[in-house]
Amino acid sequence: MAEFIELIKNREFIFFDGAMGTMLQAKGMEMGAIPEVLNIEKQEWIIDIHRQYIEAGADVIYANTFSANSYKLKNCGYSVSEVIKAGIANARKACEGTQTLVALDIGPIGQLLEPTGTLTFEEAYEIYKEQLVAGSDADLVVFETQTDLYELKAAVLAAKENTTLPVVCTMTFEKNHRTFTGCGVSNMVLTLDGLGVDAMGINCSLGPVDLYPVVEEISGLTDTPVIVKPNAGLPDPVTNKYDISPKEFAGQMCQFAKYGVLIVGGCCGTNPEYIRELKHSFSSLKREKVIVTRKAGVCSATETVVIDQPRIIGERINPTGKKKFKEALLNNDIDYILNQAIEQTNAGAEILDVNVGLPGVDEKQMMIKAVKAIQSINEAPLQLDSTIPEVMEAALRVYNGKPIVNSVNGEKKSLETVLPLVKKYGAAVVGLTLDENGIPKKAEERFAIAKRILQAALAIGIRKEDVYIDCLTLTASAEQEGVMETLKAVYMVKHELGLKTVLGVSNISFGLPGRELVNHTFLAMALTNGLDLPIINPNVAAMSGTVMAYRVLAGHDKNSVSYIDAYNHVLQYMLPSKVAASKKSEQDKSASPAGKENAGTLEFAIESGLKNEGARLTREMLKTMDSMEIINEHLIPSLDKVGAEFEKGTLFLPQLIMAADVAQAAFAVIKEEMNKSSTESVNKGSIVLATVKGDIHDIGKNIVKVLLENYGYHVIDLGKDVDYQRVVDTVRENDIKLVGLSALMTTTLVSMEKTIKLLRENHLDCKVMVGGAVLTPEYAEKIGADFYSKDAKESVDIAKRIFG
Amino acid sequence: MIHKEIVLGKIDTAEAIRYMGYREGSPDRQLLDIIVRCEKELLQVMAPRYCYKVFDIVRTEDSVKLKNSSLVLKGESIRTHLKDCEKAVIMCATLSGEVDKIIRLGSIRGMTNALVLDALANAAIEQVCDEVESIIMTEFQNYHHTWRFGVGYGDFPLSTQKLLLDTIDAGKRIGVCATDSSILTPGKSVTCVIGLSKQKQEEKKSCSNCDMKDRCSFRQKGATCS
Repeated sequence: MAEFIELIKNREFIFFDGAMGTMLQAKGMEMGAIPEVLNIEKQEWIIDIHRQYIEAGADVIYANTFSANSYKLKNCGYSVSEVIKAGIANARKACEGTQTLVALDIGPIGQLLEPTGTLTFEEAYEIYKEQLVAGSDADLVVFETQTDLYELKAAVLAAKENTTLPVVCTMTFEKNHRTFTGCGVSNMVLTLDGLGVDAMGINCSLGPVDLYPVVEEISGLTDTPVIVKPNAGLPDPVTNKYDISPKEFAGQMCQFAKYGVLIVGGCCGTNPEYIRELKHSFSSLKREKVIVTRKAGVCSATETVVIDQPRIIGERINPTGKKKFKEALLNNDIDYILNQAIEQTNAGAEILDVNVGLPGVDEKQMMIKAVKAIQSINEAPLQLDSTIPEVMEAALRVYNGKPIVNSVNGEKKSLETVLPLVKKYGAAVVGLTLDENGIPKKAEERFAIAKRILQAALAIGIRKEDVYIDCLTLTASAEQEGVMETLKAVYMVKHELGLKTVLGVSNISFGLPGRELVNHTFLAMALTNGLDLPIINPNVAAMSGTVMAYRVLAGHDKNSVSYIDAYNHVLQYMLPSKVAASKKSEQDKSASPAGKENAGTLEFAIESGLKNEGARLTREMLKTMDSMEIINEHLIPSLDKVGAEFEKGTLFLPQLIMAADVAQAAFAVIKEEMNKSSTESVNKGSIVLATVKGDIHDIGKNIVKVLLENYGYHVIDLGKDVDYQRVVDTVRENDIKLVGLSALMTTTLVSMEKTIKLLRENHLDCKVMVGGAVLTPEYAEKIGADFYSKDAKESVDIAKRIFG
Repeated sequence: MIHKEIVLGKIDTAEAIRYMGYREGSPDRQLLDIIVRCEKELLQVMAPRYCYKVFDIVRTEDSVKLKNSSLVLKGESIRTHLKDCEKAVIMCATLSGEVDKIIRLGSIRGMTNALVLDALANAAIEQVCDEVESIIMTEFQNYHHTWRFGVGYGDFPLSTQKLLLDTIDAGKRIGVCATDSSILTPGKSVTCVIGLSKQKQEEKKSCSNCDMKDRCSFRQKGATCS
């Protein structure tokens, strides 16, 4: 096993082989066939191709196992294990009498992971695990042609947890320096370095020349060995030939020695001649030493945040002290959390803290759900926040990228449980300067704890730049003298230990009037003392504004570009908040056609799609009317009117939806009011909605949801690709009387039928309405649905019939 | 060989507005503003990609085969579609997963956004396909071509999707895969078969050969979709 690691240590360059598929097609394999089946059916072809590469000078050959996974091999007649073991055996046979090593070669599964596809992270892990176990007697494993960082993470974890093989990863980049799924170079490097792979780089993609800038970027970011295995240019769609010759290829590859690349080989379109030329051209080259400057940084799959200046961590995804947030968690309302994420990043948050701990909530399951949902719509990296190690590990597993762990502290037990997780999953970590004896009063003592945390982290292999220290903010009203101690500790940690610093800022003003003023003054002081990562509420303009202004004054925001961009048009920070608010609603008004008789009413706002205006008017109306009156006398009649016009064909779908969006905003205001008084609640009946198993088209279902909610129904939205049993369970647990199912494909109508069947078999007393483009009333009846709903409007009519 | 990058300068918003259900009349200013904003967002994130391969057609008693591939095109409809053709182009185009992402984001911000983005993306993928088609045809100037026959049209089974993608290496080349239910991912992706012939071909799809003709909302109102 260690032989590959020896090669890495001792060689100037290591040569990998070239394409397998291209060679097999030349031997007569049809396009679209499964090449791995030939491990068993055409052994002699495979061994011959391996031998040619060995003779050309390859130090490592890839066994013919690229797509030998349970998805691709389905129906081929052989098991994954048979195909992989045969593949490794063929390669070993070809290597007899040579020093050549055999790599277990693993490509992408061939189905996209959530959220774009339907495969879950956990399923991907299992698929890779099966391959790895079958091929664990290879000399190393290579994950290649990967485009999804998330899928690659599942693969690397499967390798680390089930084998002892050295791991090499290569991803496929496009001309824009990103993979198909948007993963950038730094995202790959930060994540894979964290997971601890033995080599990383690029394969397939483009020809060598187009990859120069990408490879230069990789080798500037990491001291992990770099591998490059490009295509022989691009294929011709008619002749299927690639456009770069072996000599040209080898010539172009030489440049990579300058970028410190250790491992070279070829991908699509290459053959043994390319590898021979490659070896020949490299015989006279020296690998240049590239100077790597590691910077502190974290990432999502698509966005990297380098901590070379103060970066805002948004604190709002946290139920502490927030009634609405708690309610959302108890109701499994993920959309609420997503809105918090969107709002904060729009306001300038660059990293989001995620804490979903609440009594009565399964924190682990909620954390997994929240992390997956947030990263499906949001680009900002996350700071995972939990005090329970089990929850933290679950979050670290499903996170896509390199996150921050919040937090570890100086207690022995904390260091021993948290740091190994940080190391295993390659995260950065926040270290709190407290220990068994609580929070020390003096800066020097907090500094000592910080030092201890750093040493413990270094001892298990966590890099120094990945340790951030939180010197802890104390409340000024209670411990006034503590404020300057905190700031002093920040200064010491930053300048003497050379670590990045974190502070939760908002606590400082607890118990004082005018909290905002105290908060942003303290924030400014902390920044001056070396605070890198303020944890704040970015939605408060003065807070994010302070950070932006600081970046100007400290010289980070060159020529004040970002600052001017943010504040050029927006002056409400300078204005008392009431003036700013009325200015905003004026803008809304000016967009509306004047002179209509009901102008200025909620009815008018709904009919005209004026969201802010709708919310404002509702707030006004609540002063003199009760909630139910607004809903029954104003909201619903307006929606009915718009709905009727939609039915007549005088209004169109977008107008119906715009009206629904306004009603939704009005509803949000009403709910807020009800939460305050908590005497009443709107629920005219609970309805389960789902896009059926196998189907991922959910826009229609989402439209139905909004409309039903507007009419006061409580919708339990199970999302898309929903398992039959889950629908049944939800109906049973919540005693549901109406279920709405949606399907858009002829292939998934079957799932609709099966879902209905299972509901009936379980004797659940509920009605089922169905809808979707390919559905007809006749078909709906045939599969046993109670109602066919031709559009969103009709689903409301059906609900009215059921619930009155 | 040509591999031209496709960059859309603008989206056919008139087409998108029709997809939203408008026939006569046009959206008010409120909605037009949203459409303009969504178009801008989409153009910013979409990364149109395509790949295709051209095959000689081999006809057997009951199927259409493509030379050097294991792909068999089953069904009467595709057979009729390719009846005078010597070659078949298998193509795939996508707007990329980033588009799925902003539609998801749109539905959190308010369904109007999602609806408008979805309709615009549908118009955009058609434009991309038009461009790919014209790129292909510059290489086959002596040929006539059929309209783009989608997998799942008529009795051409949707389950062909996976093998069709593998045949042109669409996963590796442009990142398009199929789910177990043969749905293409990313969502705004298209696969199709174009026949090439020395004889003149029907270049446009018509109601008579459309699957949706019995439940088409355009036809119900006495109009057509194009």
